[in-house]
Amino acid sequence: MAQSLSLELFPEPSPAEPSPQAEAVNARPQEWLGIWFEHLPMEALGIPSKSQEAIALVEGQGRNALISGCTVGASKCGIRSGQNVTAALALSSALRIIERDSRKEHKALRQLALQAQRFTPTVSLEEPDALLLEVAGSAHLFGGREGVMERAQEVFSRMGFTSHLAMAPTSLASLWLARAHQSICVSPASLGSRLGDIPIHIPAWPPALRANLARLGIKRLRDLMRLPRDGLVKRFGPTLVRQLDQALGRMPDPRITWQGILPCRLRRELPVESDRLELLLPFIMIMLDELSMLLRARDAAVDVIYLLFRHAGSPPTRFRIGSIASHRDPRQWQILIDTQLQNKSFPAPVTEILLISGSLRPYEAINHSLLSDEHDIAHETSKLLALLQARLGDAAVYGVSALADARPEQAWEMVAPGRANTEIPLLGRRPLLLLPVPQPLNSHNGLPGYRGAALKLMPSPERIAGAWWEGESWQRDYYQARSGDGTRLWIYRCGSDWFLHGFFS
Amino acid sequence: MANLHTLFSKFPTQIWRGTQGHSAGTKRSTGYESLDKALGGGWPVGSLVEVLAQGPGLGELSLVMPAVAACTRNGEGAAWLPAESLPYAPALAQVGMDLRHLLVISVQDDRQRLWAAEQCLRSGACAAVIMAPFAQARDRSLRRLKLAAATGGSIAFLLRAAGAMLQPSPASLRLSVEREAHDIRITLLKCHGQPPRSVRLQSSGSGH
Repeated sequence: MAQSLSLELFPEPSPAEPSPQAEAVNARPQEWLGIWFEHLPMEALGIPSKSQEAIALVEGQGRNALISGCTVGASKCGIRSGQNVTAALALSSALRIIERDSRKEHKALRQLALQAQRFTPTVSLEEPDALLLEVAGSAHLFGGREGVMERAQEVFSRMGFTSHLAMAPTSLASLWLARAHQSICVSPASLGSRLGDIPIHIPAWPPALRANLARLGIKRLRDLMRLPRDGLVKRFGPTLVRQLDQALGRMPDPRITWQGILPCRLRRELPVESDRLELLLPFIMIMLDELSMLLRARDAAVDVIYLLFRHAGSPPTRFRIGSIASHRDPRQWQILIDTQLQNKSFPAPVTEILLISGSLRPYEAINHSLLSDEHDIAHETSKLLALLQARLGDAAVYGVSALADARPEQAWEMVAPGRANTEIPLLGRRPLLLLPVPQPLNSHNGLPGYRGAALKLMPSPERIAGAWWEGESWQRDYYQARSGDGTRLWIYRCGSDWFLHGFFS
Repeated sequence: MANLHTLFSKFPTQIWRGTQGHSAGTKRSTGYESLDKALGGGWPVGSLVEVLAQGPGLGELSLVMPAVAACTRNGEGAAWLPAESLPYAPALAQVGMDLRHLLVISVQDDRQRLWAAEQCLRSGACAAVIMAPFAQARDRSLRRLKLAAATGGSIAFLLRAAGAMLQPSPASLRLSVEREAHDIRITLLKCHGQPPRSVRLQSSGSGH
């Protein structure tokens, strides 16, 4: 297109430019693997769904108790989800009823996600019973798309979970296809037609909406896609149309990647009971090495470790070893553990040691320059802080920061080291040392005295009042005072009493 | 005679001559010109400096503050181990300290405080460490502090009561602080290569 020389008042947009939204969606082709665990509630409790025994899961209490899942053996007797418990018991007298445990399902889904992480780092949880994996970058490592699907199904069936998998260019499409029991790999070209075959009850839409759609005679997504957009938006709200757009790839559908935060738990039984620390340390070292390997595999580091020592007949002894910066070097942890456990003794001989890590944090590697020989001060500082805190306790090591408050005691605060703010307060001159509690002074003839000698007050006192809006009604007149031997003090008068508050050191 | 001179010139630092001035070694400026001149450059890095005063409020802290504040502004850490009084943050900010690099360690037990000071000095993360008075500072503990300061390349400022003047100490620099009218008088009790003398610091305008 030749550039015209005249200035245009309203330049026409160039038709060759694609809209930024479409560009974003087409930027990187994605491959999503949707995995639906059909019988997760049952398998999370350890009951294989293909068992011939008649077992059913129950949800709800009393009159609202409904069957929410059953084994193959139970369904042979005619039991289905949604039936009443009494009706189910009537169909099969040998039925075993077990209550559904949502916490176990929650945990099971996360354990499955942890296993799924071996295929790709982008694992997204789709509560309550599905996972979404983005495998565009890693599929070739497992033998292509079919290879990933096969391997994943194998992994999950070995763990005892039946899974339905489907692969599609968008996450929502792969999820819907998996729920519709279609384990296929869909290419972008055939996405529309494959999605069209999916029945209406598959996407998790509210029952009222589904009833509405059924009344209109819409049975599959294809019927929905044929209707005009504005009509759909007006009738059913924007969510429906947005989800269809996301499934077809017309709109982006960002997913939150799940960070595996399951802590590591290591156990070691001691061959010989002992309560001497030097005999326990080698075992602790072995466990620290194991922990370091586990952390490396997950590209993570920890900043807190719990050591539990079990005794026969006494309650276990717990230690918490924390560090400012998270790291995974076993030698660093050994130094901290040594420092903390140095003079501690055990009430009884130790039979077992457990090492539980805190929540995992992503590992941040430090770049060291090859040629420089100056210390990396930040690294040294964090090591020093960890060491001091291990021996002296967390509360003994802190930084100080100035606050904007006229009251002297509230004009500063303890903060974590390194987190102070750098404002310089606009106040009168303040003493370098402050007494934690103001000390009363003897006064002769209305003038204060320090260590027997009278104090000379310097001119220009400062009046500081308490926060009257919070109910503090005191008023103090602060003076800089000088004693006979040259000590500079910061004193104040409250009413008629004199107090010492600090030293101008 | 010529041989003696060549010997002296070949080993300038190993052989100390009676009229020779201060020791070589890095110095950090004290912030006060007359004191810098008297000390031959400033505080000696990698050593223990004792500051003796009758009590708090005599200017012993403001003597070391400029050097410590300069360390923090430079990005190097500084540590303070106080006894009963608290370091007051607004005043520290007024003196020019960058509070992000200041570490305060408050422990009551003397042994733990000595251990903590040693760790700070040795680690290399702190360029200066200020220690409040210890009840009993034995010669052995002071030597350990001096060694830790030399290992880490930091300066250890130990504030002590004036009564300790009579005790021998392994510190390489000892000075006592008194107030005279508006000025601070510093007596250099022990300074490498110098007989004891005193320096008078003019007070700044605000009446330090």
